[in-house]
Amino acid sequence: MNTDINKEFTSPQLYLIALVLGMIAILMVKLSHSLTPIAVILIWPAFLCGANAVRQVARYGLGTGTASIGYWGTAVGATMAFTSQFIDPSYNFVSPYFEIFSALIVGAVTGICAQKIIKMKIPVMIRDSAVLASSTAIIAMFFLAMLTEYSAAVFTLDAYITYPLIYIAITLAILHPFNGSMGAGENQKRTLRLSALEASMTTGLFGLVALLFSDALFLTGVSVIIVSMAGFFIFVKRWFAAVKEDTYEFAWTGYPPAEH
Amino acid sequence: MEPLTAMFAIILGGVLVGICVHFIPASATGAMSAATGIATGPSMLSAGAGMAGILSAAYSMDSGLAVVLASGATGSALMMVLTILGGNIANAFGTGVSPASGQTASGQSILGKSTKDAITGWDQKPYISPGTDGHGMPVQTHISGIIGAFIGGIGGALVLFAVYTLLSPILKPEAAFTIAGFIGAGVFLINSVLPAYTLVGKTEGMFDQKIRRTPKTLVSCLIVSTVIAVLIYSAAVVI
Amino acid sequence: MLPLLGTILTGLLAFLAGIFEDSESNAGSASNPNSQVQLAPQIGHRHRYFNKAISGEPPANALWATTAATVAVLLVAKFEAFNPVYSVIISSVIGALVSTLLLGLYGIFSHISRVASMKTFKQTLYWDSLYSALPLDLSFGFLTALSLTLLSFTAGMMLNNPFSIPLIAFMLGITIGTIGSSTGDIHYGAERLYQHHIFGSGIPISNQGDIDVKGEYGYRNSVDTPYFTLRFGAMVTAFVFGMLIFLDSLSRVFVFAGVWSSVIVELGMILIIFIVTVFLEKYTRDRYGPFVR
Repeated sequence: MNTDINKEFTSPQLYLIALVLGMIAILMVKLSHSLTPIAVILIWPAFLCGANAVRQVARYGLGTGTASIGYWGTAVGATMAFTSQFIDPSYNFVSPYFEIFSALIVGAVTGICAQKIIKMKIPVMIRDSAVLASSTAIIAMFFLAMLTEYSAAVFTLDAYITYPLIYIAITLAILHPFNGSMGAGENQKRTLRLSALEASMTTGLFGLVALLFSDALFLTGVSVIIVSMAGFFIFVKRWFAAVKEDTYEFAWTGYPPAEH
Repeated sequence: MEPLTAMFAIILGGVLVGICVHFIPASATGAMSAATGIATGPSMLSAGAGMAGILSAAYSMDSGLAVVLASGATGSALMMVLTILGGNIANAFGTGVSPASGQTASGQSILGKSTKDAITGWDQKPYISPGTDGHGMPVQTHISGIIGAFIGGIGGALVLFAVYTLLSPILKPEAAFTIAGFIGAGVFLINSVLPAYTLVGKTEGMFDQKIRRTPKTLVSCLIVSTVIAVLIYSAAVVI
Repeated sequence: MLPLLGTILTGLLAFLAGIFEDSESNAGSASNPNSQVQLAPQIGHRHRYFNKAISGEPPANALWATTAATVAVLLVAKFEAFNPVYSVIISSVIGALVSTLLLGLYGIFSHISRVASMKTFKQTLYWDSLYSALPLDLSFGFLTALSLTLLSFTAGMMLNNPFSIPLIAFMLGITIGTIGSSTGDIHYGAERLYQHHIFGSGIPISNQGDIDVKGEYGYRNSVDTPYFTLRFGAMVTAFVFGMLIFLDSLSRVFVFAGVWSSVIVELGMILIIFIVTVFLEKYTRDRYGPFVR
């Protein structure tokens, strides 16, 4: 998380980190559930990659709003991730590669349609649509793998009651960092630190859900909540340090200065 | 419904959703009574209407395709007509303005240079506040909204029914219902954002000049829905 | 008997949810009218409002409703042995508390980060404008999540909706966000924020951003907004959302034509409401008359 460098991160750089670490995290969780607390740390870069992709597309002023881009991208990623739940168990080796790759394809196709047919003239449209769709698919696959155990006696299909929560929690965590920091003085450093903060909030929420979901996941849930809270406090300090540099003035109370 | 027909039904449903966004009048600045249309963005408004339709269609899932489509259409249309009534009440008694169409008042409606409402023949020009682009929902935009909600409701219910048919052989009933409902909502949300790119934030429905951009939306939604339908079909049936 | 009781209960809960949702979106300035609060420092009006820019209202309300419903469903599975009705109510309260915590965190971060991006316009971050409005916002958010969760439980268990309860809550959250944003926000955006402009006119593009910074006495805060909009904007939102859920469930009680009876009854309702709207437009045109400069 080296955010003291002054140049900006590019989408392909962040995507490569998110893809590699994300796949390692998903495979770790599938292998053994006691590795989940470490895997949770490895999934946070995927949130940063998604929030950065939203930032790159929305900066050009789409007229439709940041929220629409966020929930469109997560709809692609989450729908592709949920198709993994009705693959025949004998073909289980195909996931997670099938879902992540298909999300990349659908995101790229939508970007191509927007760029060539609707003629939106945003240079980064195709690349960032694909990156956004794919990073949300990585996060959704991780949460699915965390809640449905391939190695213990929990029915994988009862996890369907958590699908709407997986979708909407990822949507808000991805779209809020840019939407909340929108303004003349927005910069990538502060947005990405806010995105890391909200990533730890989201994984903490899913730790709570895992804790309540089944008795076999009780210790997993507690450890995920502890790791997420530790990450939350560390990121709050770093984000607020960036806020203190950027804000005009702090005051407990007072009157705004008179105009004219 | 056989699996291959279900795949084509998903594609058709996605295209219908894309078209309905052009018919439903929406504008973000309507919240300040400064533009004609319902006071929300087009993509979120269509998503809201679609969700009401899918919820309504779910109750009659075991009664056959025709009833499911009709329930979805009337559910969405009921939500749309109540929202339009509520918006007009808020404009009339909260801000004190009467419904008037800004585009028609400046003579730029798709029907020609007349400044009169297309359906009732009432004159729009004297009733708009100066500096704004109209406010409220006059009758021509109202009818356009109802038509749009019917189309969107049918599209959403079609996707719901098709995915349910694909999933019911392989999963138990409660799981099949919920996953089909969520994938229906997901396809709806994906296809309602592409037209929003063309509309750039506001539209007045089928009497607006922007209705001419519908072919672009149709082609884009067709391509995207085809890719998604093929992937869902291959995940459910092939693998 | 049970579907009729379920219809009445869902109508009542939907009405209450509409009141609370609109008041929550006005206690912290949210969605479309927030563009005015965002625009004001750029033209020199520095303000003391709570700039809660989380996202549009539909996804935000979907998140609060889904979180509360998911936690509630998981808890009901554990408490069911005690008593079915009490376990539903207690689990809904605990679920709504979790979603209120999320709402508080997102609200605080959005206000701080939006004001931090306004350095060039010299907008000061007043801590008390955030902390005075936050408890009011959280209370309305808690009540919204609670009513939406109870509404989903009623729809799932009494009216036999085949979807699982978190999915019903998700869809109801998006719908109530859309309705609240389309009807109640007009009262906040065009009337409460612009009280020094005349009544009887929309807000022209040239005047946008010129919001009220002062209130009846002193500088205005976001706590001053819900008590005003509750008297009209919240009621319109509640009317629309309550009637939608009530009429939709009521149409299923009829059985005179087999499975098509609900469709026929709904088409009749749509026609009646359309005619009422046309009469309303004619009434306002005749009474208000053309715009007088």
